[in-house]
Amino acid sequence: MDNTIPAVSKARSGRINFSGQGGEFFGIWIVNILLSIVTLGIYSAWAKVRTTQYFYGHTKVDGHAFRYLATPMQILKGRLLAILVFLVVSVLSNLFPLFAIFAAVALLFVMPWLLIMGLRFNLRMTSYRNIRFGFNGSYGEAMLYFMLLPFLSLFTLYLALPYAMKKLDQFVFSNITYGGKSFVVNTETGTYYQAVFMAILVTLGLAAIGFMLSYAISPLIEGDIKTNPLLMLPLFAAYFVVFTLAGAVYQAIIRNHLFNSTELPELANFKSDVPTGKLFVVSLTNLLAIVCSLGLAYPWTTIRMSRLLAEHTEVTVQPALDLMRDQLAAESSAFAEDAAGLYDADFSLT
Amino acid sequence: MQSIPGTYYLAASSQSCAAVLHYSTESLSILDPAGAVLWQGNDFTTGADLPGLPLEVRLVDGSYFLPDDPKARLNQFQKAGLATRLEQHKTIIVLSVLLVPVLLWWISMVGIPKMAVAIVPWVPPTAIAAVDQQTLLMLDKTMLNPSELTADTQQYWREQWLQALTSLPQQQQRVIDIQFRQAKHLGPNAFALPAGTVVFTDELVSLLKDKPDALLAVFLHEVGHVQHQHGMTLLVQSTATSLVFAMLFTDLEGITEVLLGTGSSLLQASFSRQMESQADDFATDHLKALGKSSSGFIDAMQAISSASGGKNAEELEQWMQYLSSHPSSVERIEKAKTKQ
Repeated sequence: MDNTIPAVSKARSGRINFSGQGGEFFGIWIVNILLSIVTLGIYSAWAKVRTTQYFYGHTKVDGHAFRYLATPMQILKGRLLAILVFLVVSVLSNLFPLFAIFAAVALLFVMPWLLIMGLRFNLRMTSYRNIRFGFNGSYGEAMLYFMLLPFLSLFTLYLALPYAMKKLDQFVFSNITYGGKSFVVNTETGTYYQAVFMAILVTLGLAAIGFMLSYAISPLIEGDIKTNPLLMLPLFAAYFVVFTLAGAVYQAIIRNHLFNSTELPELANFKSDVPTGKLFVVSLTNLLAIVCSLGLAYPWTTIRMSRLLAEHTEVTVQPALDLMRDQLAAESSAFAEDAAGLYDADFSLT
Repeated sequence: MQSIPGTYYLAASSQSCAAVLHYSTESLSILDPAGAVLWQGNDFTTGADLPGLPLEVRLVDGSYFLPDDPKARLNQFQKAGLATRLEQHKTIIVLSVLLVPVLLWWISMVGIPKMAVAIVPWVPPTAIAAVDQQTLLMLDKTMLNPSELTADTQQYWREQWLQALTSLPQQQQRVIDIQFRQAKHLGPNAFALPAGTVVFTDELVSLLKDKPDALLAVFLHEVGHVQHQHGMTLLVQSTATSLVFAMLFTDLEGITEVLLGTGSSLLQASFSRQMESQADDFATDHLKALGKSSSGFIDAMQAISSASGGKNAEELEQWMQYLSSHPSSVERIEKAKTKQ
């Protein structure tokens, strides 16, 4: 076997290359939904694996693509178990409303576990250059950072929330491993306050525009909110738009900061320069495209977002990364990840 | 013999190198550019076949080979996998775009409701009774207070209504348990629980105390819900709907989820409206059977409607008809008039 290593090599820098195509992914998406419906949901496990493999395979760092190693059967087992739990919980909650309260309290304690099991599964199933990722976070820490700190920040009138968000991101990212080596995160609390401040500013700005608009067109509309609840609809839509756009501003600032302050010591460094304005515009047009197409534009919008994020992410690979050995081989259950998805608490990493 | 250029990734290592895969029916070998053998054997599988991506060759020791050409196949006559062919087939894609909304509509409008109707008779009566008991207990602790009507008044109405039930031509299958509660927040209202508990608010009884036929009409409407097993059907239906949609669309987020959620609440509302008119029909038909006109029903509708906002509210109801769980009161009154 040829194991000779180039004697001297330098660090290589490059943008992430994302080559997924909107049209191509549309076919995968819509046909997979059809197959899932026809097979009474069974195929959705295959759909999930194919979709993830499509996105991973089209994402290249330093010329090498990512791989998603989960098998459809792992996903299917998790899904069936999650559905069983959901059925039992909802039947019992309907029969005994008091049980619903118990279940809600129990969920608070189960949620951190579901979240870390989900992260662990997803990362273990992610491989780059035949080396797997992993996740080391413990239940206690997850309880502290996912539940306790955000809850405690309530008592500071949310003033401490940006700090709690910083600790949460730090918990998630510094517990990710690649080939057994941990990521190191040096984020600063100040940037989180800045991001929240900008998001609030955008919210206020958009609210002001909304008020001026409604003032301008109010003579054209009869009645007010009290007599015509239909006027609540544009308000609801406006709330959603504001939420998405303020979220885009926050995300741009935090993502850049997080990537720029994270490294895989001696292996890799990251740089992110997503322009806030661009992310704002893409989020807004994605939102409009999905609403106007009644959801059909969904594949196109996800491809577009992935391409934008990839274009603005640079990875510097150190020579030592060419000499890694993998220590992770054990597998974990797909149940946690899927149960979290079904209860709508899936945690997205990007 | 076939030669495919690509990259060979070593087992459990981040090392990789340019390589050429040679494949014949007997064996597969992977050589480095200098011609040295990197791997040779028969024990391998191929990865998923995806549009625009090269087919991965997974070797038994955990190493893998990735061709440079996304179209490269081990057997050059071999077609792409069935899933890939479907996903790239123009006709299938167009068909999916048309079929998916139609099927989703069918599942939620026909499939799930039919299934719910089929499941409900299998729910054990003790379980349904437990739902009544627990729900009433919960409501008593939150929205309802003990009735302020005298025991005599309560007894009087109970006898009147149960008497009417027994004199109906066909016997009813479920035992009705009539309860009175005071409820400031609900106002004049009545509701039925799945097993046959019918609750009247004091506010409704005092609003209609001079119109016994109107109260009887409301009572019959609620009995209609019980006899048609609407409560249990709606319960099964909404559980099944959220299950099915969770299973089919696990990876949706944000606005797409909102769109889907809005669609399914509109559907639920439309089922609920159907059930309300079914219960209305039950009430007006049975009023007739008791030798009374449906004017009692109309009186009840008008009294409740004006107590909750009057003329203005009526206009509004027409706007809200697609969001509301009940048909508009104007519509319900008009329908009852045709039955007079």
